[in-house]
Amino acid sequence: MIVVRTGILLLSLALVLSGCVISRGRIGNPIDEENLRRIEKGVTHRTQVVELLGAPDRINQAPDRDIFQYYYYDAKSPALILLVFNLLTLNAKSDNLYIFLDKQGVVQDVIYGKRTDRVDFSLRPWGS
Amino acid sequence: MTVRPSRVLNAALLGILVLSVLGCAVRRVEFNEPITAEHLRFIRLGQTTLQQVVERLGPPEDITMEADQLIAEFRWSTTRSASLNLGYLFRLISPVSPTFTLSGTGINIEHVQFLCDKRLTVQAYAFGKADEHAIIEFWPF
Repeated sequence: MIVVRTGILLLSLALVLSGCVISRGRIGNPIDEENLRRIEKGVTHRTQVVELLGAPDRINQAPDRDIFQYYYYDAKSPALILLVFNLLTLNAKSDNLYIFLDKQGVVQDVIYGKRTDRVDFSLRPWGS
Repeated sequence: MTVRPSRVLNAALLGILVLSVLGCAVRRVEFNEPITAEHLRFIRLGQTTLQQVVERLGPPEDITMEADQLIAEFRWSTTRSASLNLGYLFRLISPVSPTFTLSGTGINIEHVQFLCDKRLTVQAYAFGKADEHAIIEFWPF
């Protein structure tokens, strides 16, 4: 009896999950928030920034300052692939960190925001 | 044995429903959350800082500098794609189905730019002109 029930349960599960696809993609590395907290405006030097966070993904140079940019992208994609009908959604979000350095290489400002903690696996190809 | 007309009608409706979704695919790709004018109501030009904007909206995708000014650009997009493979209809009468697909894709990329001074205080902001493509668009012509 247990074997039959287990068989029915597995078959039901296989039927329910049939055609489901779940995938995830990332670009870059998550920004290390613990190390980010060690960066102090007016104190930390560019070499220390690189030691703490690694080389920036991008450097924006202006006459009187540089901006180090670090980014991280996270995407989750659920899909339902049926015999005759397919639905797919891909939700992607980004984190970005900008560190403003003066010409002496000292941190002047830090702009950081995180969105990737809100990426979800919801399958909703319709809607606005 | 007699067949009730209501059963025939139900079967026909079911058949039409099945045929209407044969070979259909609907896809959607979202990047970041949309920002609307409503989201920016808290901004006081000359007072609100870029950091305060980031706390509410998340980080900008790009920052560029020009002399004493800085432009922070926030971007988001929704891409919708739908396709209809009419070749699936041949599966009803043939073991092999040819491919004949009509497909449409609409990419809506939107952005808002903030102009800030050297102290990173918002001086002005403006939305880019947005495209509005249909949710489901099979017809490519």
